[in-house]
Amino acid sequence: MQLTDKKKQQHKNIRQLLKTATGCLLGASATVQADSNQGFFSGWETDVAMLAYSEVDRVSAYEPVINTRKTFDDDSVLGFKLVLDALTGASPNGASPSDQVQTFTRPSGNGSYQTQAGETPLDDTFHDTRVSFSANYEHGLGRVNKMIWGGNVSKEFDFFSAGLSATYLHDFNNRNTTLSFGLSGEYDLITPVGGIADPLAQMQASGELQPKGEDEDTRFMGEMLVGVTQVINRQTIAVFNYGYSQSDGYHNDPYKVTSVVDDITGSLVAGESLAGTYLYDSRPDQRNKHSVYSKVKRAIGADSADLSYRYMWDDWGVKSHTFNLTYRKNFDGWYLEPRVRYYTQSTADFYRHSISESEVADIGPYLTSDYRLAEMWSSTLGLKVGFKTPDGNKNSVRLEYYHQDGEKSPSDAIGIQKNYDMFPTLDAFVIQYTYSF
Amino acid sequence: MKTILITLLSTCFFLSGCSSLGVQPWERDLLAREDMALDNAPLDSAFDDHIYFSKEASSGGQGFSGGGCGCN
Repeated sequence: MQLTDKKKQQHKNIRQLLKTATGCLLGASATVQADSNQGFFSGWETDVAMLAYSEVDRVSAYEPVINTRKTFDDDSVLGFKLVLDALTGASPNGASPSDQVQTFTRPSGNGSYQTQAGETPLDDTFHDTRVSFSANYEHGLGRVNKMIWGGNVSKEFDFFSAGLSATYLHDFNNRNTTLSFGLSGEYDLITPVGGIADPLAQMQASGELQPKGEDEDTRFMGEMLVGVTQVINRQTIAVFNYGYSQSDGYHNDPYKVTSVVDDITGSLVAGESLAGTYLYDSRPDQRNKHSVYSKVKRAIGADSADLSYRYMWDDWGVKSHTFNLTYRKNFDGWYLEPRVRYYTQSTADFYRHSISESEVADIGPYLTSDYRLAEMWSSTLGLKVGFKTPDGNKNSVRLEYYHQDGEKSPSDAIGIQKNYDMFPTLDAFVIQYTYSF
Repeated sequence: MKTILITLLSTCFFLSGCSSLGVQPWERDLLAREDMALDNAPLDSAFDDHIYFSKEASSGGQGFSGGGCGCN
């Protein structure tokens, strides 16, 4: 009995320490330590989480998060979230595999890296640290209406973003139906390493003058989201959303290029100062996206199932389908939650894995070899385990495997390209731990 | 424009059907369960949104699609 009490006391101490640390990290004053049982600083519910993401032979990311929120006496809710994100590893640069060693110039214009024959060209200098802070405030407007306000800023080495959002919710039909209407705006400032590459210009050898002009460019995105949430019966609830977004400004990936290959052999074509010819990314300066999303959640005995589907389409020609199913098996004090997700997308109108030499004169104005705008499909398999510590605080561990695949042997591959994988297949593992107190 | 019109009409049709759906306040026991919240793990959802935003051409749907991230 004494041991149990001691254990409980230890857990209480740990919880107290974590609460204090969270308060300090998120800007609360030191008075938290002096009085955490009364006033503004008491009653905060906090989640701390750590996610590790690792791609086979490519990028690794570590992402710690602290999220805290408080419900006040008037039922308003204030929340803050702080996210750190440290990435390192190699990322496909868009160029296609070749039968020769390929040399590329690093984004800074100083130094170069090589890709062996038959290999997918990867830029191994990819590393970044991102810090993101967001706040939201939710409050009632009369008995059946609610507003949610949100704001976020994030900064990484070559990117800054700031956004605001407002969502209005209206309950009716005995609170069985909720209508929502939201607007958001996001401002992005892009400052690529080495500057903004001229669209469709040739990458030059290290030390040569690179075709890069301005240091920075901007993008603005406005978005609207309308939705209906409906209680179907005692076991089932459903959601239907429609979203529209329009972004204007710089959309190119400043680090991606497209290979120009020989019309017959598919081999490298000598560039102005490199052994190969590589053209910088060029995308439209506007993108309009639509999405419809639906979700059904159902209690099945003591368990629950969650099924969702999203269809997205945009004016770049991309259409995608996303299916997600999770099933939560509840046990006494813990649960298991397997998950499967499947995603498939069609190619953007201006995606090419490479272009032939004879096409160069007529190509454009848009061209990309970013695999994320190619035809592709991906699947995720996951398992989450949740349990409570003796003091009643929630823990969960999530493991996931992500596989992404595309057209490895496209029908328009030329010559030697037919011998190589023309889509950079990806395998990634995710592990996440979350503790709530 | 055509899409928006179809969406609005579908929504009206859906809503008119909604009035016959639902439960009484005392029948919300199952829906009130923690695992029955529409997004019962918002941190997981945020992590997922970030990962898929950086690896695929689609984002949003359940919430706003902006990423606040230079990863795509």
